Amino acid sequence: MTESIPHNGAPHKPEIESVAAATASQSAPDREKQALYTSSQWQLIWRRFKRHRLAQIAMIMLAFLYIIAACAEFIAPYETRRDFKGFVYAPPAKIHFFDEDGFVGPFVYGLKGGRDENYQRIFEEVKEEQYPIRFFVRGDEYKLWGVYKTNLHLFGVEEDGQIFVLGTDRLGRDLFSRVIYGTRISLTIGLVGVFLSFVLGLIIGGVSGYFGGTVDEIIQRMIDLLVSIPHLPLWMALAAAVPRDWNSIQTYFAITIVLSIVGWAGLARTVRGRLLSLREEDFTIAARVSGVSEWRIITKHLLPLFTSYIVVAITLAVPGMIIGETSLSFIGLGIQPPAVSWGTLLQDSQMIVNVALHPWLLIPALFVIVTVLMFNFLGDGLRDAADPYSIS
Amino acid sequence: MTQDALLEIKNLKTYFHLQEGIVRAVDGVSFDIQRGQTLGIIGESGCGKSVTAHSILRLVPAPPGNIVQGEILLHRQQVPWRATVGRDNGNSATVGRDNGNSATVGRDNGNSASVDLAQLDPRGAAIRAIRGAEISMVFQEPMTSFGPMHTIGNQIIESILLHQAGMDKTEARELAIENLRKVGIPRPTEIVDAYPHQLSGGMRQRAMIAMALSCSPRLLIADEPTTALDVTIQAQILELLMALQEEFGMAMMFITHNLGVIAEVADEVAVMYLGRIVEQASVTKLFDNPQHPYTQGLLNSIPHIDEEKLPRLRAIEGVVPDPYEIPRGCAFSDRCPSFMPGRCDQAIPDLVAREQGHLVRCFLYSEAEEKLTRI
Amino acid sequence: MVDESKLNGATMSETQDVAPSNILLEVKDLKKYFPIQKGLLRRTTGYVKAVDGVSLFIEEGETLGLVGESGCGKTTTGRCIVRVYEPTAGDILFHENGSAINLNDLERQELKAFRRHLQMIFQDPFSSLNPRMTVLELVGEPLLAHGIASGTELEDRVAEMVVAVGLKVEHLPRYPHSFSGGQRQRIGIARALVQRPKLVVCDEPVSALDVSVQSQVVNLLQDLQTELNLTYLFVAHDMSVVRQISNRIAVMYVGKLVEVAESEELLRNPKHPYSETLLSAVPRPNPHHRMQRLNLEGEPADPANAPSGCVFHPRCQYMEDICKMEAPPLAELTPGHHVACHFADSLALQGIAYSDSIAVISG
Repeated sequence: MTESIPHNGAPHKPEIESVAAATASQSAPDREKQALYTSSQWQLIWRRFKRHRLAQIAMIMLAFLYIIAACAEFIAPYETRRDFKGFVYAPPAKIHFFDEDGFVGPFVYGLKGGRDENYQRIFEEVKEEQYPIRFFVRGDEYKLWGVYKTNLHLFGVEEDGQIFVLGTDRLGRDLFSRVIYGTRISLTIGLVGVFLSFVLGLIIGGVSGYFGGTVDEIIQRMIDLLVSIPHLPLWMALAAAVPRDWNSIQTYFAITIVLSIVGWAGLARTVRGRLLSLREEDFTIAARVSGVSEWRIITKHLLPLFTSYIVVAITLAVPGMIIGETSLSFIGLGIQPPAVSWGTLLQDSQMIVNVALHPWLLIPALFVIVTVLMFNFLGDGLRDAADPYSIS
Repeated sequence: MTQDALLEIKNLKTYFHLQEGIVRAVDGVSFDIQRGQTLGIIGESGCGKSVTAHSILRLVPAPPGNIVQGEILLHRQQVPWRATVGRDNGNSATVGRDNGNSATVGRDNGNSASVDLAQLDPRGAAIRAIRGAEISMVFQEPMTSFGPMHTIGNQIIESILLHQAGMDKTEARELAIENLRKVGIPRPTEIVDAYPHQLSGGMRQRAMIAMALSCSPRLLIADEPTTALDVTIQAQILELLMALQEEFGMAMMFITHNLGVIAEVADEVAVMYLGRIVEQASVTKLFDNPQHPYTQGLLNSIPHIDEEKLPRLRAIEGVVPDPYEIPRGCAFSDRCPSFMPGRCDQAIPDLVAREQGHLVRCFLYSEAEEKLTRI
Repeated sequence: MVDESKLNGATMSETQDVAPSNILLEVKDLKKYFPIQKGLLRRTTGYVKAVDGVSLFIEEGETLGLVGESGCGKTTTGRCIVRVYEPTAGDILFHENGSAINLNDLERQELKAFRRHLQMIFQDPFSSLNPRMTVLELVGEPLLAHGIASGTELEDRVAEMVVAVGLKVEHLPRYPHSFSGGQRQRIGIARALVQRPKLVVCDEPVSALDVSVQSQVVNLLQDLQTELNLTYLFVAHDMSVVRQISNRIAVMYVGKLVEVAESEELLRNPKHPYSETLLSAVPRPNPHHRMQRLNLEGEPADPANAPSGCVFHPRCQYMEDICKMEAPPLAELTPGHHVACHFADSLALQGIAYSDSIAVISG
């Protein structure tokens, strides 16, 4: 039957009445098993997480996105405000590898703008002008992370030509560069917003769960009320109160606060629910009966079990924040230009005519969708992995 | 003993394909359930008793579960030649004849005399027509087996309407109330409109039984039906089940880990250990003269309230092995007091007839006995 | 309820019957009411009288079995004694060196220090061990909390205890997820006993375990009792297991004790109708015994809405008018045998008749 599984020292009988299998012999699988038996909860979570393909892919993709956000100036070929006169609403560039003479490597043709008989803007490729795509080219000057002054970019074309990977907008600005820069605000606002609402949620939920009784009741009804108000109007009301003349950093933090004022309620509920159920777990009672102090029960028993749930809850809360920022910026109440986020980029697609004629303006929405999906996949994977009672 | 099998299981193997490996939850189980009789299945956790029951009704979740081999034959009518042929001898011949007889056995789902449940589509119409009508099941925790959002009555009525064509809603309601009365629920006309959470555990289990009996099944599978109940309520439910069996003439498959309960209800008992039957006999033979070391160990290990108190219980050593680490050879070999090195850890013993109607899977007996039967 | 002074009187007389020095724990008129709260303002609309006037004593070194059906208050009684629940009323006296300490009067810090004498073993071996801690941390925690040992001394003591419960030293760095239910229960036992308590409340310690493992754990508890001179309050619903381990058995029904006696006496000679039905309902692993049980109608009463008079009267087949009106006190019928029934001395009740098991097997 199970030939592949080594039999645990067949002839001798188990010496003590207990503990039958899994001892003594030191074959390789046994050592592996011993490693599993002694692996801590975080190691187990990691083990289980590694089985979750989709979550792993999501994690890698998200890591990639955050790297892009960190190095936006380097990766984007152009600066966000650089407008190319005569290249308004240029379509995404066609990248060629072959010309009439055969393979020459990646290049783009020059573009010549004009209007057709209906006065619609059209662009034609000028076959005489070939601009090979090069890596590590010199271009717009910037300060990387505010420190190193440089003009090196990941890729680009020679100075005379242009490369608009995702086309340009109504002022002739490179959409790809703007999306890359937008990543920075859109992705960090989720994290900062969640952090703020987590702090609020942990304090309020913790108070609610720890004190219980009337305090708990009042806080819970407050949360009910908050949750019952539709999010968008509430965001709008709060965001409308942000002064117009604040600079973009001030607006950024104002918007995160707006988002987290609405977002803490859900996290507070999670915190309270977990706290209440963990407090009643047998092992907490067992610890109390053993004379363990309340402080040690909280720090040693409750918090470690708590953190994995919180990590999951936070991961699943980030997409809501990202969507919130996008929605607010989309209707013009969020991040204010010239700051760039995915939401402000989508403002250009508010007019249906624009979308019909220049569909690439919707591309930032794709980034939003992919990011939100990835966070959800990651959260799912973490949730499955974090269940402390599942064994394998 | 009459040989009038209602359900005949032949070499059933239900495996679970998990990431850690294959769990052979049921690994070659064969037994018959006679019309109107009760087969008790006893075993500890992981022995495959519940998976066997779920396999019969095709409720094993797939994936990861899968019936990899075996037949589950439901004989709706008495098979004529079966009445005389003993089950314990000439078994191989029987199998051969069955295969010849397979015109009736197989994929057809109509009202043929016999149907092989293992061949049916677990989501198909054929098995759904059998579930709850010809074969019903009562579970351990009646709270989870009733939907919380509907009244007890509506759930029973739904099940009646599903299986009994030509009955209208008022008739079904009458029948539901009648069944609730039969299972001893006080004020059935009121309880029929109650929600599951409004009833106590014992009352819920009675309601569950009423629902299971609503279509007069040929076979009732009871999976630990009294485990979650108090002893006095357990006694009431056991009496109820036996009285109803008498009244409806149905067969019963009773699954439990409690030796006391099995002694109360069963006619025939199968003892399971890690996916296999290790001993099977009539209830009196099994309890009076247990043969397999595991059965003996179980009976010795439990405290007997009606015997002189022992200073110490005679416990079986060790623990039930992990399903991925089943010992080689006889699965019980690492805990067995009669362990024979070089024999028990080399091969799996066959289930052989120790005497007429008493089957044991152990090398202690297989040498002495002529191998009359092999199942 | 009606006659509480009498109830207390009965307890006092008990105390005088046995040599007072032998008594380790004495519970007097213990009550635990859980408020039923409704509505937004959480007004208390009633009480679940989970424990309603329980008085009992446990002698040093003995095991008192506390049996009853779910909701009878046996677990709550056990948890009040270890002060997991705050009792509503009553005294819990712990006798130590001739003086009695009332646990119910102890302040938080005193209670924390006192807890080393008073431990508990839980029913569920899965939820009672923190999945984030190793065996060493789990078993060592009580020693650390009371400042009994630390460092290598702690490790030595933990190792010694772990071996005593039938585990191995190499199990120390492992986490609970690598153990079976029975092994986890052994860890729970080691954790409870490592600080050498005097009294251990065992709350259904074997009912979640496999049949073959139950007997191992019962044997282990018995062995450790002799070895470490422990006193047990063994709370369980399984009469056969309780009888195996207990010197005396107390039967509880809807918050009250209905009968207390030496275990064999209670089995053979029950004096309360509820004990009689409880005993007859125990399923016997003996097919020849079939269908010989009494018919117990109805279900246990709701402790939020307990019947008047004797709580058992709605189900009792010997019920008379007085049973509806007046609650019978727990009175001593014969030495050591206490019954709360108006007709305890006149009813002829049926106990367990011991069968000669060998005769049954051959027949």
